[in-house]
Parts: sequence; structure tokens; C-alpha cells
Amino acid sequence: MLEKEGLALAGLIERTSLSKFLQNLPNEVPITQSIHLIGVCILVGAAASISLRLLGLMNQDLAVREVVERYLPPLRIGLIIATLSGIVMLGTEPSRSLPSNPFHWKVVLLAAVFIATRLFIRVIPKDDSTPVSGGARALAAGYLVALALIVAAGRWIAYAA
Amino acid sequence: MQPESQGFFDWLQNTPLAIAIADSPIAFPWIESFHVMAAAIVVGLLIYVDLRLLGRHATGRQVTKMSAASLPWIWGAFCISVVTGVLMFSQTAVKYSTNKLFLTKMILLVVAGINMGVFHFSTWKSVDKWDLQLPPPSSVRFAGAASLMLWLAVIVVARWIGFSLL
Repeated sequence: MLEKEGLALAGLIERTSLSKFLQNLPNEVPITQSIHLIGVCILVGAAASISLRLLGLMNQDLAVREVVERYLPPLRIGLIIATLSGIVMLGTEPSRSLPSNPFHWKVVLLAAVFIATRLFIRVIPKDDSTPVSGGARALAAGYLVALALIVAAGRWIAYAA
Repeated sequence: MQPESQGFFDWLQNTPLAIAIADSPIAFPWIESFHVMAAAIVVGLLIYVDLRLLGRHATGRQVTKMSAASLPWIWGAFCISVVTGVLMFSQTAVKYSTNKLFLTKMILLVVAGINMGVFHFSTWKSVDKWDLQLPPPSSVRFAGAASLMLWLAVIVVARWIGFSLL
């Protein structure tokens, strides 16, 4: 799926001066991957806190609104750190990621996560006595599954290459 | 490294399970995927508990309630990361056992455990007094800062291990 197109695009990116600059930085890959993982941890911790509350499995002593408002800002920070560091990794080693199917899945799932993040604020019950809707629970479960698959896809990129 | 321990690692690496993992094209990547997922949950949730101990997050919530909500998930994910970590270790045990970065990761995990143990068996006993106190006592903030730094270091060192084995 899109392997030839990915390779062609990787060739174009690899020839840019920015990519060459990144490739020549000492230890750029492990440093960026470390930052990427820290971003993922910030994201996963916040996403788990919100999603597990919506599913009634954690933080049940707190109102949904309180949990979402508390964890959504760090969730966005984690998502931004993970995405930006991911883009830097892509710029450094485009031929490792762009032709690989796990990377394509990761991008699709990441797009879904970006959209779903915007929906968290919309699924907050109007008041504390209103139960969490089925749609909100589905969003929470889907969000966690998508994050798990993104992590798995990220690992599989290394093996697909 | 002592020859006896090398013998143990050699035995471990040659167990049927370790050989099966090494021979399978999909076993190690899947085990590693679950290891990273579990580690992300452990460190991800700990970040917010540690920030609470530092008085920098969820300051209106009792530390006891936040810990009670997070710790079962953290321990559950930690157990998964240990099991998957042992499985990953087993298939290259001899190589890992002499890898300085791997040994550094193990030392960091032990120090993080000691930090948690000291906090649990001393500072935690007076939690009723500082459950909502801001800023939290210096011993609480120290434990939170140490935990945060140690676990982030575990993540960074873990990532570098992969590059040291290439």
C-alpha cells in the first residue's frame, strides 16, 4: 500500500538541505526518539485519565467536566510533542518510515486521534447528575484502542524497515 | 560479570520459550509493542501523580484520592511491562547482561523502587496532615521530583539501549 509513492517521497525529502542537516546531527535519532517517547507518555497518561473516567473505571469521585478540563491541556501538549518529534524523525530517516505500511496506519490513526481529541470537550454531560452517554464511552474506548495501535505501529515501523 | 551468572543467562537464552521468541518474525515486535504500551501507561500516569506531589497538578484534589485512583492501573501496567521485559530480555540475555545501558536502566528502576519504598514507609504515614497542603512538605516534593526524574531517565535510557545493540 503506497510503498512506491512513499519511497519516491522519501527520496525527495532526503535530498533537502533540512533533512541532510538533521542526518548529520550527532545522536539526533535517539535524542528525538527519547523526546517522542516522553511526549507519548504525557499523552497516554492524560488520555487514560480522561478515557477511563468516561468509561467509569477511574477518577469516579470527580465530575467528568473536571477530569476533562484538568487533563485535556497536558494531553494536547503530549500530542504536540509526539507529533513534532515524529515529524523530525521522519525528516531524518524518511526512507525508514514513508514506504512502510505500519507508518501509513500510524498516520491514519493519528489523524483520527486529532479529531477525537476535539470531541472530548463535546461529550461532557451537561451536569454532574447526567450519566455519561454511550457515544462518550465509545469515544473513550476508541481513543485508547487508537493510541495502543499507534504505539504498536510505531514499534513495527522499525521491523518493517 | 561472574561466569556463574553468564551460565544462567546462557541457559535462559536457550530455553524453548526464548528460542521460540528469537525464531519468530512477529513475536519480539509484538512483545515490544506491549512493553512500550505498558511503560507509557506506567510513566504517563506517574507523571501526573508526581506533579501532584510537587504541588503542580490537580492541587485541589487530595493526594490520597489521586493515588488510590491511579496506582491500581500503574501497578497493573507495571506487571505487564515486567513480564514483557523479561521475555524480551530472555531471547538476548547474554548480550543484555553486559550492556551498560541495560544495567543503567535496571539500576534506575531499583533506585525508583527505593524512592517509592522510602516515601511509602515514612512520608506517607503523615499524609493526613499534608493531603491538601500547598505547597506540599519538602520531603513529599523531593519524592515526587526524584520519581519524575528517575522514570523519565528510565524511558530515555531504554530508548538508547536499542541503538547500543545495533
